[in-house]
Amino acid sequence: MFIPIIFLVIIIINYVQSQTELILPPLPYEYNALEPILSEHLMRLHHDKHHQAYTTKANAALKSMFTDETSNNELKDLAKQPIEVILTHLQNLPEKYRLTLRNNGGGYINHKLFFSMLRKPTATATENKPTGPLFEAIENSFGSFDKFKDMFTTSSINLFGSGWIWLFIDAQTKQLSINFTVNQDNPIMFDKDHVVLLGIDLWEHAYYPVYENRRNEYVDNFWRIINWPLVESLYTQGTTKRHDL
Amino acid sequence: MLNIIIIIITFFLITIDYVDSQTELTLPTLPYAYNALEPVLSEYLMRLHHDKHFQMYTNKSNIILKKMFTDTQSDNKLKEIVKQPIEIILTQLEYLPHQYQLSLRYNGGGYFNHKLFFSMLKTPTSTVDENKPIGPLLEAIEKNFGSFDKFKQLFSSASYEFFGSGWIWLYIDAQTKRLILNFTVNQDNPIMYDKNHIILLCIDLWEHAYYPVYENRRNEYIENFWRIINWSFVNQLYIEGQIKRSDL
Repeated sequence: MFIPIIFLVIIIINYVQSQTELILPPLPYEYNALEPILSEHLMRLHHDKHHQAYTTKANAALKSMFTDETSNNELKDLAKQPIEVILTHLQNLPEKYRLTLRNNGGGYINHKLFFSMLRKPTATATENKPTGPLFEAIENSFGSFDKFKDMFTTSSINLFGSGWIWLFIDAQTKQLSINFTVNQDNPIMFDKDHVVLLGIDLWEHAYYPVYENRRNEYVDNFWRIINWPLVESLYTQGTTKRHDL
Repeated sequence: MLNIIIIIITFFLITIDYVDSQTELTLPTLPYAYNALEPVLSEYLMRLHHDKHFQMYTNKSNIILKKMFTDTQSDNKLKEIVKQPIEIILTQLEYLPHQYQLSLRYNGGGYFNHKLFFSMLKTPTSTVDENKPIGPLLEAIEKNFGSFDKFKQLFSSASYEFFGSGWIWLYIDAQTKRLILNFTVNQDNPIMYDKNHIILLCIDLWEHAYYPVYENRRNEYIENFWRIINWSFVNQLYIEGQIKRSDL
């Protein structure tokens, strides 16, 4: 009678005291759903190898950090937070964990976000656009949707090396902003109140199996697979959240 | 008599043109057939890497050099710099007009790095172990790293752990004169940091350098890299480097 209760208590204690453990989210669609823009083979590599590797490595770092004898309570508490929160406190982490969490935790959230922002391609790029408040916000911030597309496209083609181009609500100005990050950095690492709306992965692994060196073709076709309803919901959530601040 | 004058004038004009024209980079052909590095690096990968990526760095560098040449004619110091070989220009990036610095660092760096890299490779040996340097270079490696295997381990680890796009280098350090391992990001080259570093060996860790054969498996690329290093060529760089160093 008491034994199951004791076991339950032990399990609960362990659950409450354990560090964040990241799970590799499954793709919200079939591996072949983004054909012909992104092939099934590319999606399998990108999700099952790259995203998986970031997940595994981030978990290893979190576990180390949590079980490290030299970690104080503050650090252990931080290690229990959602990864998005941990990534806004990188400066509070000991140096030995900071870079690996920045790289792998960043890789984890970037890919989780990115894959969720994609969907089955439209027949043409021009027919795929946002509607409502997000569309208006884009027009307000950039002049027109086409100007925004041009800017985002040019930035994506010109980014040198590995990184991302992002559209986000800037924490300070509250305007929509386009900016880049290198490697697996995310805008929230720079200000926790940036609201990320759209991102494009510009690491070569994101396009090489289909486009090889032809990044411009990848970027041109990217417009056909953006899941604007999801991006709109991020915008709505973000502006609601901002209103509360 | 008139013919001779015409010939002399033409020769003179050609010489002036040659002296006054900016550096124009040519895409060096691979020192081996595209399929020479099979199965470690496939013919297909080599065609992409050389004919697309390396070609693009060459073209973009030339566009920048040409623009920079016309822009700097009125500045005596800059005018001289921009006529130099690319490896000299890359050691003086900070003197260049601001609007050219970054794109020349990227594309000139890409040109120089790939020219070096492709020249350091050769037909694979059947095993990793049989491919090693000999003579003074081997001794220098053993002296600086403890043993050749230790050096391989360090170089491989550094290559595996490196995050993002960049390179791992073995070079003779300009200051300490020791052999050291270091990384650069993107298309940076150690000479951008000290013109007297002597480059010996490098590995391209941009994903394009291995993805068509190894996909995400960078570890396999690195392991096999040891089979294609042209140690004779690296040895030559070492000898030339020693001579250059003793002249300083």
